[in-house]
Amino acid sequence: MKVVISPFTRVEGHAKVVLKLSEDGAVKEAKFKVLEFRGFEKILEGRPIEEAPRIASRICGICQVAHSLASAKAAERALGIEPPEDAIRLRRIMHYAGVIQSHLLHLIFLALPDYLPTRASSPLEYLFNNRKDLLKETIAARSASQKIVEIVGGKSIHPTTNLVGGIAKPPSREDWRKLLNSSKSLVLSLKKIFGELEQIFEEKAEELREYFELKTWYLALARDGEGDFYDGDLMFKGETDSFRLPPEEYHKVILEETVAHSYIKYPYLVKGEKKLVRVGPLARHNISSPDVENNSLYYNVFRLKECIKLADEISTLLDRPFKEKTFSKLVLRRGEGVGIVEAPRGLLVHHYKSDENGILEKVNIIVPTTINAPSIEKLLEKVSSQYIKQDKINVKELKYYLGLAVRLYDPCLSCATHSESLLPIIEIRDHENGLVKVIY
Amino acid sequence: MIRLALVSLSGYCSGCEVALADVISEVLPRIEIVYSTLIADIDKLPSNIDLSLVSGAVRTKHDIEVLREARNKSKLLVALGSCASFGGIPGLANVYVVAELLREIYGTYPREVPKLTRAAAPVSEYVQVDYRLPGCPPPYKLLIELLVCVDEKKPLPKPPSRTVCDECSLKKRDVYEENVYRLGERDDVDFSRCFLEQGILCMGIATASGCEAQCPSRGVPCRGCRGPPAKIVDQGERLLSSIASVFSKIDEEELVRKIPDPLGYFYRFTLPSSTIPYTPEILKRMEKDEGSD
Amino acid sequence: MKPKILVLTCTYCSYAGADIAGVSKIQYPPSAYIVRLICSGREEALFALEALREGFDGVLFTGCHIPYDCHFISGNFKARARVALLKKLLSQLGIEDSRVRLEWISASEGDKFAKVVFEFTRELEEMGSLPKFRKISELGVEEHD
Repeated sequence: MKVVISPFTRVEGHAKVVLKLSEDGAVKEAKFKVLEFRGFEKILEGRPIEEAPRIASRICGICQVAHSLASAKAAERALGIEPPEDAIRLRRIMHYAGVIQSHLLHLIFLALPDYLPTRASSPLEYLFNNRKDLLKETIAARSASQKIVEIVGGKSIHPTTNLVGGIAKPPSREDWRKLLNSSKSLVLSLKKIFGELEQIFEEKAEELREYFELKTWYLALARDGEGDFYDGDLMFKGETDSFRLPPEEYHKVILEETVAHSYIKYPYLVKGEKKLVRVGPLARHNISSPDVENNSLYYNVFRLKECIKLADEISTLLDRPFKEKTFSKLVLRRGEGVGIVEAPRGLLVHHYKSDENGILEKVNIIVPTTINAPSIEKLLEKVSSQYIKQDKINVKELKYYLGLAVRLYDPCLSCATHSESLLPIIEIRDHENGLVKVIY
Repeated sequence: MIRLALVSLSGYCSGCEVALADVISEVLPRIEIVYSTLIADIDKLPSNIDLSLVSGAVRTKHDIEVLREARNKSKLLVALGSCASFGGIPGLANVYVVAELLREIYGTYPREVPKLTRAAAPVSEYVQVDYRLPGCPPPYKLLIELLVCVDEKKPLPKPPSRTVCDECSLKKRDVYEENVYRLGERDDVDFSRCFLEQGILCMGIATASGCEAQCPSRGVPCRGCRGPPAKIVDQGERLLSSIASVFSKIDEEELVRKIPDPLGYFYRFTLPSSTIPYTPEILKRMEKDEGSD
Repeated sequence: MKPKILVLTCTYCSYAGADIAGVSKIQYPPSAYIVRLICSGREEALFALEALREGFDGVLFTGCHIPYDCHFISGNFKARARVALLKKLLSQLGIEDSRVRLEWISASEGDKFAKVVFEFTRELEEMGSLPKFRKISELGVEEHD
């Protein structure tokens, strides 16, 4: 027996979930299918390396800043270019603001509806009618963060000033003042919504802890042992063990596997055997915390906490105006480089090889949703087994909890396929692959 | 109130939807979202849609079905963003045969997923489009303007016939550098002066206005995301022919070394709606497939 | 059938060259379709792209000898730069770049004109013709293996 949920709503992209049942009607396995394909790696091949950041950002309209930065970093490594210090400072400011806007978009528009007392079909309208204050402050915080991206990046969606070598033109003193203002109002708005949201997300997390615990490895960027969004080594952490790896060696541990049911490839943590590994806010928390939190529902809690932390860091980074020069000259050569950043959803890898005229010959991109996909399936398996017992299916509950589980990862299918989108359907199939039920 | 459907096709990145989210406080009183799988939980297209905003390029069989259904149920259907309008960046994959591409990427063509079309296409390839609002993403101002026009039942804005250069405030002297540089190769760029005159490729000359020359004013040249101005069909060809004229004193070999990627520079957003919208290899593969049936 | 060739000529040199070929009764394949433009600076990539899409097998750009023969001073330089970029574009699209060719032909070079058309015809014959282009919506979907 097999259950399919499709299309999945409130996720970026098109996807569906298929549950396969065993002979006795229990959930045997869950499959998370990504139904899109765009082929960005191939689109980037043959392009001049200095054009890559601006093309790569189009992989995703939500975490575009992260793609643009990872792309520029990979290209800079390949060409041996070091951007000036102030370019890095500007990139961090833009990156943090980008993460905040993505997190807020997810928390309010995509995730919060799962936590509301009434399950309104248009959460936006529900909030507009019932929680105007909350909606207003969230929108204010989001526009402040988008404003920051715009001032640094030239545009708030698909920013353009981030080049291979740094930032094209530094913000003027006047722009710097505008940035300060936006950063102040960002902190202010966030503080207003933080308390209430934290309580909402934490309560649910504790209430459902039992079903959402999933023991996996965690992976995030760390610099000198501290989590970092822009730079650092790969830090792996398991229940009892942890290890570190330079970014260039990511392929030694992340192995991509092709599966028949999806347009995304599945990566596994190798180190001897296949193990599940998770990235994103939960992983970022775990790698720099003494204890490990395995409750997947804490993704949203940490997502919220990151907003506050990053907003404060933006203020710190804005302590002085910017220097004249934020750009290092492009010098073309044959080379290979890996650029890794922490995107809103977790570790993002761009890996480029260029020829002597700086033309991209080979591109490999690993996005956080890809890394998380096997864990999403594991969690779906665990959660759904609560709601399918001996062929009795509680459709309403099932749909709700599976949706909640998928959305915890804020899966970005546009990214994951560099190619397509995520819209789940739940499809239930029996042990002989016969269709039992389709849930929309 | 506009009964609004947000139709996201599979070749999309969500940027256009985020653009709508960015202007939401200005438009929320005017719209009722009756369909959206991204920012709402409505996964069935209702009837009686006033306006369908379609984003993304058409890439799968499923996309075509959703698109046709949206067309049938909507009074107005607008292509939102460059992908829906012209095919966009995903359209650059049209130089590959998809089946071969999939085999290269995945080792096989995944079976349990929607079938892919042979080439990415703009929405107008399959249904009648009432209006195009291109841009990657579309400029906020124009998006608000469109929604206001629909809400107040005014005629839709005219597509721009002017170019980015017409709106650009960078100074022109009509003196061109006799050299062409790759982006970033010059570290003495004068940010108050026309990029093209300084030997840096800028696509403003054949790109529709409406963005207020946002990129050039922030120190980066235009890459043509708004597509061609009215009356021009093939933006890439216009760019190729005119940029070649500008740098015609450079010998052929050097020119191709400095402009190594005409496809990616000139057709970045519009290949699927250009004169030759895909590689003939696709046709050869198709003929082979048909022959084997 | 002989390959169809679109020949773009300029008024002052290459068209006159083609004319001389005719007047001198020099034979060349009749499958060359000559279009006279005012100057090779008017020979745009669009003409070639449309011709290839509409069933021509090759496009011959011609003009006055480089560097100093152009009646309009620099039209031939423009044609040269366009052809260079166009060739690159065609190869990126998976079309043989030799389907586009550039030749300088003066008003007196009727023999050269004929020779070039002969040569080009032979090359295109070896290459075979391009498949007939269809609308994307008529291409259908890629079937699973």
